[in-house]
Amino acid sequence: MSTRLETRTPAIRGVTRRRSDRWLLAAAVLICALPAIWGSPLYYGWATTGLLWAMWTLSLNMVWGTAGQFSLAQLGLGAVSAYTFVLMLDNTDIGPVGAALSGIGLAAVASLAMSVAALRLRNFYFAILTLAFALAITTVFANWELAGRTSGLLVQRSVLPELSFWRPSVGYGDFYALCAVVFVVAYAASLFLTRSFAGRAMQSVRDDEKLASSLGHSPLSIKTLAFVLSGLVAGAAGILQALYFRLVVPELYDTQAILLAVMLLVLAGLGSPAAPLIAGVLYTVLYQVLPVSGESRAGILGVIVVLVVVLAPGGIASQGRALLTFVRRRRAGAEKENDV
Amino acid sequence: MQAVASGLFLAALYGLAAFGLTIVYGVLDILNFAHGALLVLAAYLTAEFVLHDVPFWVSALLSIGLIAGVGALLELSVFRRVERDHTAGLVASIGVIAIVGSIILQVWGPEPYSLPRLATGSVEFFGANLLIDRLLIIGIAAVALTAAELYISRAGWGKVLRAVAADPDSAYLNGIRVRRVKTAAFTIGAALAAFAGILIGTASTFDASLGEQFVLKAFIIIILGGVGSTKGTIGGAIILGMAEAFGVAYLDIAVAQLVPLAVLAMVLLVRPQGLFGKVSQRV
Amino acid sequence: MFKQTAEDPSRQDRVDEVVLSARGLVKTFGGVHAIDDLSFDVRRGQVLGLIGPNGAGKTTAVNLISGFVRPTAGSVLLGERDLTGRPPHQLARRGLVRTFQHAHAFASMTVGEALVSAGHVRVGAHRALAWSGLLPRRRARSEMSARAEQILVRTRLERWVDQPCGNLPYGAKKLLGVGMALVLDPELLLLDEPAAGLNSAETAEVLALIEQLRDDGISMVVVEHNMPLIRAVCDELVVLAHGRKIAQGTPDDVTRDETVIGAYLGRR
Repeated sequence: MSTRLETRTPAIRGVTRRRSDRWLLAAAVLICALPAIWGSPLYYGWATTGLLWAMWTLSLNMVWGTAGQFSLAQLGLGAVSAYTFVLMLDNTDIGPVGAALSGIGLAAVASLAMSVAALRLRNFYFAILTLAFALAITTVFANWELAGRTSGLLVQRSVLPELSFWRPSVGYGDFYALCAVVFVVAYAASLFLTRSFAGRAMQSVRDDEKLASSLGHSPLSIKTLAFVLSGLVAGAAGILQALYFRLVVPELYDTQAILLAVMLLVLAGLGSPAAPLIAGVLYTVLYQVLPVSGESRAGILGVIVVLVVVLAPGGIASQGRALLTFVRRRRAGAEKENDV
Repeated sequence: MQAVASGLFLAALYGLAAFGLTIVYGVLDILNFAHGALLVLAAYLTAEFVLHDVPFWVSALLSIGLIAGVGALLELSVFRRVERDHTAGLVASIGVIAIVGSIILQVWGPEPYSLPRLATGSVEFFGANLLIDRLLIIGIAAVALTAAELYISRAGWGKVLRAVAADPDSAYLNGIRVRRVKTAAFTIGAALAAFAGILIGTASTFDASLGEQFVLKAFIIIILGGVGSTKGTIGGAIILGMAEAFGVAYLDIAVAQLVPLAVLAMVLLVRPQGLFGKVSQRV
Repeated sequence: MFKQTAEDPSRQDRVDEVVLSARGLVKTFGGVHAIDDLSFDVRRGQVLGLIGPNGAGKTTAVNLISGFVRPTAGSVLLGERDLTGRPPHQLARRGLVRTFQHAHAFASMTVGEALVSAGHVRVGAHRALAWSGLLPRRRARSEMSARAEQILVRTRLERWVDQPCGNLPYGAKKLLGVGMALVLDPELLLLDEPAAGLNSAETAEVLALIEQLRDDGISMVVVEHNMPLIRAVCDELVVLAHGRKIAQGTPDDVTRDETVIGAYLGRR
């Protein structure tokens, strides 16, 4: 035992590691604010798609990273929400907010239904069933007359109120602000969740289901909770995406898109709280900023993913963490010398 | 009768696509999403050779050989390094899909391709009009799958394969060179994927999305048949092929597209170990 | 400490109270009887040893009692309540907590975090629904930390507090396993081979911890191979062979029993 421990009770940082959360949240706000510096519609467009992918990966990270359930259904849940939103706008006079809420609500209900069906299954089956579920959803929309079949539905501009609280004179700035606010709120909630009782329980279940259940955590309800919460985020992402493209169409939620979300998250660092931020930036850089042809983007991403998986499992986030620990150790070492 | 014939035809293609995937999953324990990518790549390669006036069957053999080589290379360079990590293997295979998809789009573009049909014409049979090339495909697949199944269950090397699938550690202790067997299994799986891809290509046009359609169906079949069971895979392929063919024949086309998913959901809920699987089977 | 509790009149009344009782437990795997008609009672404060040769069904017995395996027949009672067939997390919440033969640990957490997280159930975070865990109460939080710190000192894991569980040496990992179970403040603690895989120094640490727990009056069932440890902590032994109970009694009686010597000690 070291002398330090004898003088005072051992401090358990335990449930809370709030400091890093605050930094992450600050980083999120900062990154979101970046395009406002230039204020050009081009940058707003880039950043908006980046934010949308940050939302998708946030949703995937909640269910896969935190709770360990490899779900391929997140974009399907987004599709449920987005289509519900547009259909409600077109066919009822519930208004945009009501339509959005019912979209997100339905996505949560769908994820709950899927939990009941799928969560009893082990990993392999779960992944395949969720993928099948996501594709079934798009198949339904692609064949449904009311949902515009394969050509999808347009979001009529007239049904939306003018958003004008952020640089109203500049292009997409107001819509970008809406996306940024939604993302930051969802992100903050997810950080809070990770440190909460339920979040810890999710990590317990992910790390070792047997041990977790021997300590009184119900694996099934914990996983269901994670799935439903991630469904809420996916639902919000789906609606924002529909608003951004002013369109819902089955292609937006196809296998390619599902796998893209998986690749972005793994590249950024599966399970790391910083992953959605990194994934959003990654997407923006790779798919918007870099002057690469559309066909080769996915290929480049694929190569990076394979390299990362083989050479640096843990993704970018863990590399960053390793650097942080290194710096901290050096600093701690320096302090010790000063004490002497 | 028409529905039965097209059911068998689908079953033949699905069976071939799923068989290689079962071997890879059983032996390497990797959910190889890239199986479909290799399958479609083989079809494109064959088409390319045929365009350069190489005889069809030579092109087919060349492509199968090339894809088998790609498979071996992938196993040695990527999947071997992520052996003990399911997630990493799966994600690596997703990366491979992206790479292959990107290559296909850049080399061959988004337009659909096709391969020369095996035969033309049709025969009347109990009032049903059957295409000869489809019958040929059913025959070829039946022969190939029977041979592969017999080989795995009877031949010495098939036993080695099963031993590694059942328990790599004790296989290793019994003097089996597990690593080599794994590479071989992946190579064989890739070759089977290529074989399936070429046959599919002769029967219909294809584009880059062919791979993902077939890989999902192959996964469904594996689950239907009970994971890791090659016999079950063949049974699962027949069930799925039939279900789909009858769905197309008797249901609305939109509903028919959901049939495979419905079958999957039903089986998973009622009998998660698969129709032919045993409860205690290793997964 | 034990003396104090024994003199406490309220505690005295409860000494004969049965905390856990297994009644006629049977488990068959494909026609083979892994456990056949196993019954025993554990009284409050008692430490019961469950021993037997390899393959006697000890691990199956632990899995049956802790809910990880559903018995083919028979029942498990915790106090008055019949908890047969309930899933492990429900048993754990009602006070029947087990540890594992092979040390399990939450790889992504530090020792401190693991101990605090283990206490969630105890403060009722999941009593009704999992979602109530979304809104932690400040008091519950500090209560949990305090409890976890107590356990940390007791299991002597202080110096590992900020280490990821995965970095612990095996012995410390097993102590952590007991520690996490203790955080739940169990009515009955089920220790599955607490000393298996440990060297003699680590075994001594585990022994000291179990003795301390016994002196605190915690009821325990200990499954173990290590006879010196069993003799040191248990006041009663149940001997299993081929899934059947072949003897029950004090350690001295049991080790003199002819059947037991034949089935178990004789082989050594």
